[in-house]
Amino acid sequence: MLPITDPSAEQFLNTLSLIQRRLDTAQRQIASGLRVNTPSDAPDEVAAILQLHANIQQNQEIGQGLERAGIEASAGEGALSNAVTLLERAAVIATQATGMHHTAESRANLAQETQAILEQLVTISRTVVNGRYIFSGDLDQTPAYQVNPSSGTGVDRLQSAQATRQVATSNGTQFPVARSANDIFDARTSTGAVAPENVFAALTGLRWALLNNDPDAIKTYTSGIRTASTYLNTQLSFYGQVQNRIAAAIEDGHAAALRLTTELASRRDADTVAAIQELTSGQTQLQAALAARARAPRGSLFELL
Amino acid sequence: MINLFAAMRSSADALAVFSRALAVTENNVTNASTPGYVRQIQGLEALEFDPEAGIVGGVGAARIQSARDIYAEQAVRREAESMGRWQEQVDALAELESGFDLSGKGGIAGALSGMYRSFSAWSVAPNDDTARQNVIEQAGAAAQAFQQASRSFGKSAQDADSRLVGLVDQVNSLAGKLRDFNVQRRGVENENPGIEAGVYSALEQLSEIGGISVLRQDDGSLTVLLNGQTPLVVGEFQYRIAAGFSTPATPTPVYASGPPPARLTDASGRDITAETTGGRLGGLLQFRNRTLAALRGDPYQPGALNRLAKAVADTVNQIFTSGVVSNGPPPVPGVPLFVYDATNDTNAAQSLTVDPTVTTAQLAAASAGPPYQSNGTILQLAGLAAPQGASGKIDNLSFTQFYGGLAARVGRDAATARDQQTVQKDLLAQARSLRQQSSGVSLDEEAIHVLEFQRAFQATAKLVTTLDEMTQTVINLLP
Repeated sequence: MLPITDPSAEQFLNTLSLIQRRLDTAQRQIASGLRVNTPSDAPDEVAAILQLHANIQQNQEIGQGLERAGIEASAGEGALSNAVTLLERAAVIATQATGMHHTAESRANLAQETQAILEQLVTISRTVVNGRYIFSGDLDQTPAYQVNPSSGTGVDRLQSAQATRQVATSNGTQFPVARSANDIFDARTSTGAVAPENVFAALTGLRWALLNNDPDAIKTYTSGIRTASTYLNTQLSFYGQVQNRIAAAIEDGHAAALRLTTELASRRDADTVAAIQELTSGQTQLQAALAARARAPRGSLFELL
Repeated sequence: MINLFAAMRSSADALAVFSRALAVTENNVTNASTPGYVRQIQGLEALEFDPEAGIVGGVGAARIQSARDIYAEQAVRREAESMGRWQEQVDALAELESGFDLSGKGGIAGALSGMYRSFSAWSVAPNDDTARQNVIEQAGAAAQAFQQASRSFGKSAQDADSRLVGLVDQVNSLAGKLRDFNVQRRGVENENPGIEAGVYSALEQLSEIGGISVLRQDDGSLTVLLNGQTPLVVGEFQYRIAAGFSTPATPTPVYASGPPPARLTDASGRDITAETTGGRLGGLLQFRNRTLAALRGDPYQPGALNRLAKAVADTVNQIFTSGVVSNGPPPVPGVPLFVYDATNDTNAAQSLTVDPTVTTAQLAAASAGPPYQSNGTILQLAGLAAPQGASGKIDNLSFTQFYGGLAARVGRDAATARDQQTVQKDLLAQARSLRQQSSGVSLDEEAIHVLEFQRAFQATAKLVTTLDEMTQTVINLLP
C-alpha cells in the first residue's frame, strides 16, 4: 500500500477511522444487544460476567434437582398417606376383633385382611419414581422388602440402607429429603431388636393373634398397632416438612435467578437507546467530515498559470 | 570597460542559471508526493560587478540547499517508533482476545460450567449410571477446552514467531538499502536529493519497526544503531540481526521444558532482546515474551492457563479420592478422574485429559464422614461452581473467576494498546505535518518560483536579443 504523504489527509483518515470505530461499536451493540462482546469492551466486568453465567446455570440445575426431589417427596407423602389409612384400618380390625361375638372363623377372616394390609404396605415400601425406589434409602436401585409370612416380622429385609442423600439449595445449604423403609416400616432398637413402633411387626403380630383366636394377644397388638400408627404419622409429617422446604428452596431459587440475571444484564447488556443515538450522531459526523473534505480546495496556483 | 560581448556572455550564463532554477522547481513539483523527499532550494547569488575594472557581474547559481529539518525527521521517527509498537500489539492482542468466549456457553468457562452442572444433576440420583457417564463426558469436555485453549495460545505464539522473523528480514533489508546508499554517497560532495529521499524514507520505515538512532559521519555516510547501541549500518558495512527461539543459559530456567522465548541477537550473537522495546519489534516481543508467556508459560513461569488446569484437575481428583464409592466395610475409596503431565508444569493444560481407565462405577459419590452422606462428595464437587471456603479456589478466586481474570488481562492490554495507538496516530500525523511545513514541497510556492524564474528568463532572453542587435549595429559600422 502506498504511504500517505499528505499529513492533512493522514489526519483526516485518522479521524475517519475513529468515527468508524464508534459506529462499529454502536452497530455491534445494537445487533447483539450486548455492551460487552469482547474482553476489551469492559475488562473489569469480564470475570464477574463469566461467574454470573456459571451461577445462573448452576442455579437452574439446582432448581431442576429440587423439582425432581419435590416430585419424589410428593409421591412419598402420598404413599405414606395411604399407609396411614391402611394402618388405621388395621387398628379398627384389631379393636373389632376383641369383641366377644367373634369366632375363630371370623377372626381368621380378619387375619387375612390384616395380611392384605401388610402386603400393601410392602408394596408401598417399593414405590418407584423416575426409576428409583424412593423408600430404599441410598440403595435406590433395589427394593427394600418382600413379603414372607413365615418370618417374625412378616417380611424379608432385602437390604439395609439409610437415606443419607441431601439436596442443595441456591444459598448453599443442604437438607435430607427422604426416609428409608427401614426407618419408616421396620423400626429397630440400637441392638437391632424390633422396636415397639415397628409397623410390619405390629401387623404380623396382630395377624398371628387373630389366627390363634387369642383375645389377650389381640388386645396387646391393638395397642401395638396404635403405637405404630402414631409413629407412621410422624414419618408422614416429615415428608410434609420436606415438601415445604423444597417449595421454599424453589422460591429462593427463583429469587436468586432474578437477582443474577438482573445483575448480569446490568453488567453486560447494551443501552440500546444510547447505542442508537451514538450510531446516529456518528453517521452524521461521518457525512459531515466527508462533505467538508470533499469541499476542501484541491487545486494550486499551477492551475491558474 | 565592459564590452557588449561580455554582457551577452553574462546574460547567456544567467539564462543557464534560470534554467537550472526551473529544473530544481520541476524536480520539486514532480517529487511533491515522493516519500522522503524534501524541498530543494536553488539559491541565486550576484556575481562581482565592477564596470570600471571590466567585471561584468551577473547571477550565479548557489549550491542547491536541502530544506530537510533533521529535528523534524527525528520527531517523525520517534512517533513512528511508538506507533509501530502499539500497532503491533493491537494486531496481536485482537487475535488473542477473540479466543475468549464471554457467552458462558463456550470455551473453558462454558466447559467448566457444564462439568459443574453434571455434578449437580448427579447429586439428585447418585446411583444413576447415565448421570455418572455424563460426569465423565463433561469432565472430558472441560479437558478438551483446556487443550484447545493451549493450542490456540500456541498458534498465537507461532504466528508471532513468523511475524518476528518477517520483521527481522525487513530490518535487514532496509539496513542493506541504507548500506547501499552510504556507498553511493561516500565522498560525494553534493547531496543527491533522490538518494536522500530514499535514505530518509528507509529510515522512517525502519524506525516504525525498531527504535533507531541515526548519526551522520563526516564523509556523509550514516551510522544506524538499533536501540541506540546495536549497529545495523556503519559506513559500507551492514550488521544483520537475527531472530531465534531458544532458552538462554542465564537466568537459570525453572521450567526447563517450557516454551522457549523469542530472542533477538545482533551480528555478534549478543542477545539484544531485553533492550529492544521500541517499534514493531518491541511491541511483538512484549506480546510474545510477556503477555503470551504469562498465559502459556515459559522457562521461568508455568503460565496461568496451566496453573488453572492443574488446580481444576488436582481439586477434582482430591475430592474424588477423599470420597468413597461405598461404605463397605471396608470403605472403597474413589479414584482420580483427571490426568496430566505432572513432570512439566508448562504442559498441564495441553496434556489434561480424563483417565480413560476410569469407569462410572469407580466414581465416588459419597462422603465417608462421619456422618456418611451418599451424595456428599458430589455436592462438594458441585460447590466448585461458587466455592465458599478456601477449597476450590486459586489466588482466592473461583476457577471461573480466575479464567475471567486471564481474559480481563488480555482485554485490558488490548484496550490500552488501542487507545495508545489512536493517540500515536495523531501524534505521528502531527509530526509529519510539522515536517511537511518546514521541509515539504508547497505547490503554491513552487508556482511562484516558476513565475519568477520564467519572467527572469524571458527578461534575460530579451536582453540577449537587444545586446545582439546592438552588437550587430556595431559590426555594421565597420567599413
